[in-house]
Amino acid sequence: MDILVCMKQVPDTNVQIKVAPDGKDIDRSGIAYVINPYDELALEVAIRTKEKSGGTVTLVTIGPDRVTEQIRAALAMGVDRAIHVKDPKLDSADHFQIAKVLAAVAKKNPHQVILCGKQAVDDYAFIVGPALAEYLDYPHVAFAKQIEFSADGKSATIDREGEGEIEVVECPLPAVITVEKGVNGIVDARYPALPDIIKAKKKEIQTMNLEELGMGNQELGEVRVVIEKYSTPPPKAEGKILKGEPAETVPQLIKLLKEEAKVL
Amino acid sequence: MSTVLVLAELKDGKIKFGSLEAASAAAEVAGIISGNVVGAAMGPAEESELQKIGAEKVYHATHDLLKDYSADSALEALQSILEKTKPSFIFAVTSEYSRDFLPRLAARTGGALVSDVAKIFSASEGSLKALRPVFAGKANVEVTAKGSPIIVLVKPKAFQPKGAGKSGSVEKVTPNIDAGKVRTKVKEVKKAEAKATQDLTEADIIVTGGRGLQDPKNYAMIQELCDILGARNGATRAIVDAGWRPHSDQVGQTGKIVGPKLYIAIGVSGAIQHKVGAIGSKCIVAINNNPDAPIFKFCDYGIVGDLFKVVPVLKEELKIALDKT
Repeated sequence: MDILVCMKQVPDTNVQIKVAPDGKDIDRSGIAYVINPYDELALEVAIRTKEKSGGTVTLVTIGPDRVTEQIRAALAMGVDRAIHVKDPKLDSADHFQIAKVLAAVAKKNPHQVILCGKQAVDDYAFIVGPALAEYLDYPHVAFAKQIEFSADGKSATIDREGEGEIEVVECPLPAVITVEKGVNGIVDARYPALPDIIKAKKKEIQTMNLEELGMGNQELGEVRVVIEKYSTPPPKAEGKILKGEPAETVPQLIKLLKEEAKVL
Repeated sequence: MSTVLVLAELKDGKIKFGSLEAASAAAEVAGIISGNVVGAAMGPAEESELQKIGAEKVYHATHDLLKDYSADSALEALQSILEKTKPSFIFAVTSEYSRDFLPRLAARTGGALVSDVAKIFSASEGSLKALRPVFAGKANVEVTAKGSPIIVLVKPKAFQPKGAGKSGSVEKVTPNIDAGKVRTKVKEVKKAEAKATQDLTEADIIVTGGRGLQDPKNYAMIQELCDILGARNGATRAIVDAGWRPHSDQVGQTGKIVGPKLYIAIGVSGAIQHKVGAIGSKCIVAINNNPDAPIFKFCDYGIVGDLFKVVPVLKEELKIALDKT
C-alpha cells in the first residue's frame, strides 16, 4: 500500500495555555510541540502496514519552520519521505483551506489511501479529514478503531466504535480514514531508536509554498471562520477539603452536596 | 424570511437529547434574525418522536439506504431537504454523527462550520459570532463564521432545551439516493464488549475511577456507585491506556469533555489533560489519599482519605440519602 498520512504539529497536551497579548493567538513562547497524538497513531498504522505488506508511507504537513522537528520525528519512526507546505498565507488559514491544500498535495502524489487522526487536540474541530475526502471526491470513514486493507489494496474493512456497538464498514479505496484512539490495538506509537533517528536525517523533506503547489487565492478561497479573540476561562474558586475518618467526612460531603451544591 | 434548520440526530428511532439543545440554540438565532425554525431528520422514526423537536414543520427523509449510516447517503438526504428549505443556518448537536458528515456538507456547499459552540454573541444573515472552547477548554475562542449556510454544532449541555414546543407537521421527503453513489457500506453491527451506555457528554452524573483503584477488578466499586446514583461511569487516560476500560469511558483531552451537574473522581490525581475534560462539571468531588494531588486544586469538595475506606461508607450513606435502602 502507498499511504499518505496527514500530520499536524500541536502544543503538548501537558502544557498550560496562555493567551498572546493581542488575543489573536495563544502565547506560543516556550511551548513544547508534539505530533498530534491521533495523527501519530495514523502514522503508526501506516508504518506497520508497510512493514507487514510493503509499500510506502508519505507524510504531508502544513506549518511554519518549527514543524520540521515533528517531521524528523515521523521520518525516524519509519516514514519514507515528507512533504512540508510552508507559506505565510496559511498562518491564519481555516480548516477548509487546510483541507484544500492537503487535497492539492494528494493529487500530485500517488497513493492508495490517506490516513489522519480523527481530530487535532488543539482546536478540536474534526473538520479536515472529512473535508479533505470531499475535495478529493473520495469516500471517508471517520473514527476508525480497526483498519484492515484487502490483499489487492482496493478496499478496507473498518470497525467504528459507537456507544455500545461496533459498526463494521466496507470502504473502497482510495479513501480518507481518520483514526480513533486505540486503533488496531495500538496503545502508543513507537519511540524511534537512535540509528533510525540518524537515518532520518538523510531522508527527503520536500518543502513547497502555495505557488509551487499551483494554488492561488482563488483555489484557496476565503477564510470562513475567523478567529477574533482567545481568552482563558476564569480560575475556579478554591474547594472545601474534608479530612478525617470516613464516618465523619462522608456525611459532611453528602450534606454539602444536598444543601450547598444542590446536586443530589 | 430566513430559515434556520435544526437537524435531529436519531438513535434507534429516538431523538438524541442534545438535538433538543440544538433546537433551543436554533430558536435563539431565529429570534435574532427574525427567521423561522424548521426541523429535519433522516432515517426511521415515528412522527410523534420527530415532533419533539418543537419546530413548525419537520422534514423527514426516509429511504432504504438511510437505515444504516453512511456519510454519502446522509449527505444526499440532507441536501434534498436543503433544496426545499434553503436555510441560512443549520443547527445540530456536536457528536460523532454530526462531525462525520457535516464537514463534508460545508466543503460541498462552500458554507462555514463551527463546532462545540458554547455561546452565541450575535447573528445576522450570512454571519455568526460565537464562542467555542479550544485546547479541550484550556482556552476559549471567539469566532466569526461567514457563509451560507452556516453550520453550527452546539456543545452538549451549553444550551437549555426549551421543553415541549410546537408539535408541528411532519413532511415526508423521499430523497433520490443512487445506491451506486453510496460508497461505504455497513456490513455488520456488533455489540461492543462494554454494555450500551449513555454518551459521557450527555450524562448528568459521572463517577470516574483512576489509577488509585490499583487493580482493574476494583473498578467494580465505580460501577456500584453509578448504579446507586444513576450515573455514567468514566475513566482516566491512565486506566484506559492500561487496558482496564474502553476509550469510550475516557474523560480528558484525548477523551470526552464532559459537563455533568455532579462529577465524582475516585483515585484520580487530576493531571491537566484530565482536568480539562472534567472542569466543565457543575460540581466536582474528589476522593484521594494524597493531599497534594492536583485534583484538590480544582474540585469543589474533596475528601482526603483511602478510597478503599471512603467508598464503602459513601455507598451506604448515598443509599440512605437517596432513600434506596
